[in-house]
Amino acid sequence: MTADVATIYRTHGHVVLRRARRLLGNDDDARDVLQQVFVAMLKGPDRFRGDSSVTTYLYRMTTNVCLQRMRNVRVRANLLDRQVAPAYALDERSESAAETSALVRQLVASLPDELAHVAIACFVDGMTHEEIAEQVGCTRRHAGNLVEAARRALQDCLKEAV
Amino acid sequence: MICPSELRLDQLVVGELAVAVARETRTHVAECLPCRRRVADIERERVAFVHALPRRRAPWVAGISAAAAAAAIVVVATRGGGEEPGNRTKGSGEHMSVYVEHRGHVHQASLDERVEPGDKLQMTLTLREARHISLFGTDATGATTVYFEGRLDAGTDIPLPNSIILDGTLGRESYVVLFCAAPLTACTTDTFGVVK
Repeated sequence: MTADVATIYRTHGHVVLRRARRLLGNDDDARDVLQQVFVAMLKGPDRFRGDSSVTTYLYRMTTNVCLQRMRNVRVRANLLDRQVAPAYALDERSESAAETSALVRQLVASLPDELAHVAIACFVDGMTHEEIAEQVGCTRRHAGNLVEAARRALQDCLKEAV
Repeated sequence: MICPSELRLDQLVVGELAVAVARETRTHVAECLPCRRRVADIERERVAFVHALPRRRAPWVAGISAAAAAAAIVVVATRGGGEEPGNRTKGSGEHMSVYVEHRGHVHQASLDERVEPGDKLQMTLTLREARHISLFGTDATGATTVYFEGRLDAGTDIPLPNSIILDGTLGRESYVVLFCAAPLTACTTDTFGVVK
């Protein structure tokens, strides 16, 4: 490891590991992601240009790597069961938890990467639009639009199923 | 203030927030039990992560003065031959000096030197005659790590081949060097526990 990347690993490695574990739901996958993220940094340390905080940069990198892994349907379902479904729990009149999870899986499985990225930032991380904009690299207004798009898609999906 | 995001709390823990934002976030966290728990979780994971990192040895890259210097950290020496085994401190004719690289600057360690995670320690030894050497350290958790074992010829301020990069384990840490006339066949890590 170069000195800078080694230092970042020691000071921020836990951020990547915690986030990956949170998104993927298991420690083994999270540790794979930790390695992937820092190997990528080693191959291109100049990618971090200091225009955001190290943590913001690592959040983005970690989400990207996790989203790639989430293309695996099984892993994606795990994420949705634990994170997105509780945030959008249906009221008591609606479906069982299992049905809800299936709906949410179906929804997020259909989201393009950018929207999935935003959905995670908003519904899992609880980020503000400003923070999402910094993550995605867009304006705050566009971040708000993306959040609304994800929200509408989720609501439509749930309405159809009720 | 609404509860901060995970990103904000992570930035708070690693010290990346601007002063005003950090103050605002800390104020909220102090008054919000769920957020206090979130921060405690992050801090717990940070400590666990750092603690799990191996104590790494790395080539010493910073230039250090070759001037002889007094030992700075307590040195416990056991000597082979006819002398009564026991603990010694500096001044026996064989001693260890310690240099610290802190944020790119190198200085000789003083007694009870305060160091930080990421700092590098470089030990040098002064030997009147060839000795078999073992260097190990015990951190605040009681974990003992062997950093060097081997034979060195006589000389002044001989740098050991590797420096020590400190991890995030906080607390007092002691380094012990054994100067032995005979090979250290009996000096296993278990033995070090007794020596300490």
